[in-house]
Amino acid sequence: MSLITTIDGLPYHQFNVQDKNEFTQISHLISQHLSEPYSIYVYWYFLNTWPQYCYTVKHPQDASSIIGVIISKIEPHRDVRIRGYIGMLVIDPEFRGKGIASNLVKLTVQTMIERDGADEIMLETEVINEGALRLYEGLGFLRAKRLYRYYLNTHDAYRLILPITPKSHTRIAFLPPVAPTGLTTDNSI
Amino acid sequence: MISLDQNGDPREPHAHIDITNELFSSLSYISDNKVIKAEMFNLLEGTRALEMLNPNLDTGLITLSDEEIAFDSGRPQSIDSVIAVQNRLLHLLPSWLNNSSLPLTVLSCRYVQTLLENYAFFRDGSLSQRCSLVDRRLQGSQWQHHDTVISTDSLEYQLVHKVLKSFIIGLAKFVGITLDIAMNVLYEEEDITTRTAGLDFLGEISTVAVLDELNHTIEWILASDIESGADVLISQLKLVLRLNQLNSVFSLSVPLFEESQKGITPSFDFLSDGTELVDKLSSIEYNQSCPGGAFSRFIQLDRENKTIPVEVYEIAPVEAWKSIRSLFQSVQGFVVNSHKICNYNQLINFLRYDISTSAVDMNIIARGIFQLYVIRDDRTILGCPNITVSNYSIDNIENVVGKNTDLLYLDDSSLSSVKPELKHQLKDRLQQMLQDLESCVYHNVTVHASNVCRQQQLMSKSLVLWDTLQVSWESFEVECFQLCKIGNELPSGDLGMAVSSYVYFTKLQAMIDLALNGVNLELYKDFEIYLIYWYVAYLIQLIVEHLTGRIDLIIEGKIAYIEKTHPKKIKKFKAGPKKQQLKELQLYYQNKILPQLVQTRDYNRIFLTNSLVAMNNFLDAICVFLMIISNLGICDFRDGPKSSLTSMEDMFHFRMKPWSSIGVPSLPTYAQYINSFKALGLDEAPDKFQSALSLIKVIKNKLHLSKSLYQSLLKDIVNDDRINSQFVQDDNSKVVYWYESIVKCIDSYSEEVEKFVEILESNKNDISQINSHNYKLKIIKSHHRYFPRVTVEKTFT
Ligand SMILES: CC(C)(COP(=O)(O)OP(=O)(O)OC[C@H]1O[C@@H](n2cnc3c(N)ncnc32)[C@H](O)[C@@H]1OP(=O)(O)O)[C@@H](O)C(=O)NCCC(=O)NCCS
Repeated sequence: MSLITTIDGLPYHQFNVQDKNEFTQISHLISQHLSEPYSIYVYWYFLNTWPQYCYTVKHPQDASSIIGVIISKIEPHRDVRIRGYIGMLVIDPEFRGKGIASNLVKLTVQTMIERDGADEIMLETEVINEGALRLYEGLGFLRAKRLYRYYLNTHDAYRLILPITPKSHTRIAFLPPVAPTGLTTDNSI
Repeated sequence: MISLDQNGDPREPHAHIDITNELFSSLSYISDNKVIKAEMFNLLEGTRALEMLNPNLDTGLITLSDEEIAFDSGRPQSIDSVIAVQNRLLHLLPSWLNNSSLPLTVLSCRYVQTLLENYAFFRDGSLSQRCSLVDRRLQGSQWQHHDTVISTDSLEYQLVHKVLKSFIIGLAKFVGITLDIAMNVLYEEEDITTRTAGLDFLGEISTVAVLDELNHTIEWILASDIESGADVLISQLKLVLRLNQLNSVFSLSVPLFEESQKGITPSFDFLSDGTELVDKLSSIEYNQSCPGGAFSRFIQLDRENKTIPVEVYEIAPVEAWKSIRSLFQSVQGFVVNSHKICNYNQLINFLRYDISTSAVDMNIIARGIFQLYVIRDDRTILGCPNITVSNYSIDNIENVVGKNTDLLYLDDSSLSSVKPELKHQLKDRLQQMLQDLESCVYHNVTVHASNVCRQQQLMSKSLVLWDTLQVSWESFEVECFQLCKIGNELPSGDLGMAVSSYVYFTKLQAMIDLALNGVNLELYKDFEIYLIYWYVAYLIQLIVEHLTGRIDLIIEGKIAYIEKTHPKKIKKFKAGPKKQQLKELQLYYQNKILPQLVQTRDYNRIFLTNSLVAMNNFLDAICVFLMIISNLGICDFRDGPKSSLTSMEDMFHFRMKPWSSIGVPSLPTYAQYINSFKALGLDEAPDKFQSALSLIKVIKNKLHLSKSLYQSLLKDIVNDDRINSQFVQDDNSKVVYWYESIVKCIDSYSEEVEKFVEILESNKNDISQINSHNYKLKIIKSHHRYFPRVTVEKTFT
């Protein structure tokens, strides 16, 4: 368990792959508050491949309890740009509205830029999720696409992108392939 | 635990084998938390993975009641029960199309499942034999053994094995037809989900056979002595019958542009009858419930199922009826209107105003039917034998730049002075160029009836296609003129570049549509909406210049050729057959071509140009309004969000990405965007209040000008034959609605501007009080999809 920083008295950690309890808590928190039901595979896929991009916030009084989590990945997109992807973000309702989500996104974005040279960072959210839209758009994410009936519950979604380098605003056909990186490739999303 | 084996019967306890121990022992060597997966199993697969023992994800954990498990679809039922089952199925059909899937809706009905399983099992035999409702897996435990009172001659027996069976045959066939349409033109998992649990929806049975089956059963009911409920049963069967008739529209050949055929609309009674049946069935009160267990999640654990367990999904009856009704209404709407189309411009306007704008609300199947109805398998348009996508493309060009485009009619006589080798080359190249153009035109047609989100993606692709096309056509037209003197001339004698001009016009239009459709999809935040309007205003300025400049001159050049150049040419010839031939040609030009050229020119001048100028005035007004709001500091469009993790310049470029690869017109620079705010001089104005007030005058003038231009357009659409003739005549004219809604938006802007003047007045003494702390900008949906209402409100802090 590695402590990264403390903000407003709350400790921000990087996920520990070895800690089974942490995994269980994270998946529990997410399944309670996100509308899509994810399989254990999805959690493992993210957490095992990119543990460096999963951050948790622990309860100020109870270090064994997780009150916020962000899970992301980073990969070359169509071999031309490095794209970070925020998969899941949840804050325990009791701790919302205190800037925790904002901090987690900032931490993720910063690390993606510094460590892996991200060209852009992407995510999807329901068109009706005002909280999430306000959060991300306040940080400069833009609505790149509207996805028709994207979620199981019939809602449209927005694909939001935070453009970071000029590559993010150049059409794919006009970009040269990226040099091989140590990043894994999965073009499924 | 339920067996996943499809052949095994979940009701048979012997079918289960406990493999828990084997499973765990085979996993014991994994110790490092590694994910073991097949190469092909990626995240997308993973998000759909079934997770054992997770009640949200393991279909094996679905619990069913005994009644549901042992449901017997062969058991005779009362008339009320049959009506109830059929009624529920009519609700489940549109529920499927509301972003659900067949296993959660239509296939949750055991009657449907049993019938389709029997259909798959009995490969031979009559339709009736193949589509039995007797559950083969219940042999030996059938109702007969317990219920000796009911015989196979009984009414209750017939109601299931004749009436309900026919109904389900009809319903299943219609699902099959819908699946076919979906495969061709709809987007999987966006418009529709086509999962069928491995069942075939009567693919081998012809629609005719299904219609016969339904008709026979209706006759049987009429001849029977059923007293109460017979007419409900008949209406339900008829409704399914009408649904199955929908695909008959694909064989309608619309006699496009033939005056003699106008007013003779073939009978579409089945469509209006469909609507009437819905009205009738929706007004009945259904009090009987379906037999217990007839609808359940049984199929989710009984058959091939790659998704997670979900409850049976059913929309409210009101919604369901509305959906079926709108299916008939939409199809009737476009079928009837397409029969009124008299000329190409009407066809183009029909696609642009009637279809593209209503695709949003159109029933999904109607949208699919429309695509296949407009462009048929044989590539004819609306089944009209002499109008194919190819000549549609050519007429599309001439609809903008007028008839008599030399390059489009290269033949031996026009190439008589060209060397044979070059002649072949030219012809081949022209062929290829026309093919490219045709695929772009085809692409644009497919945009119209796609879902709104897809429309945006298709339009974005369109930009690249048309931009490439422009480059190649420009060089081709220049070459043809330089090498062989082929190509229409402007009155000045310069090359007109007719086709490239059309391509450029279409491209600009696509660029504008893409930008404005983004407003409709709510893609832009406050600070971006200014950017988009500012950019669109620039594009409109260019398209107006193009339309009133080069395109107008091309048409004038063609007119001058007929009125002056060609008669002079004739004079030079001595009397003889050649002169006679040219005289006849002149006559044809004068009688046929000239009026069309004048019509195109006038339509461009009166309608197209004015509608664009009207929009530009409106956009200018909005931009100035937004600039004042920004300059006074209510929200600054030059900075982006306060805590942004990226630069405004990157955001600018990202937003403009779809247009960034276009050669001409090139994208405005970021510096130009930033400088646009200085244009008003409000930043440096010594008296901001007065300055703002005088800008408000500018806004009001522009709004006024825009509104009066739109109002005169609306008058022209009704009164001016030159305009009126270019739209399909319809009482619910979409084009009228389109412009009326814009006028309403102008009115609401005027109200907002007045409100803002009050804000200015109330802060007259200290204009710095108008800031982001005290006021906020809100953008709300309004009458027209391109123009949401922009309003400034006081914050309550
Ligand atoms: C969305 C969510 C992550 C926000 O967490 P949070 O810690 O409360 O967010 P923050 O306190 O960092 O807020 C950041 C900004 O978003 C705004 N915001 C957050 N929730 C909001 C809400 N429900 N309504 C309106 N604005 C909201 C905040 O006001 C703040 O804006 P400001 O900077 O202009 O003041 C949290 O509500 C949550 O877990 N929701 C359920 C899961 C979910 O929807 N996740 C996102 C899916 S991608």
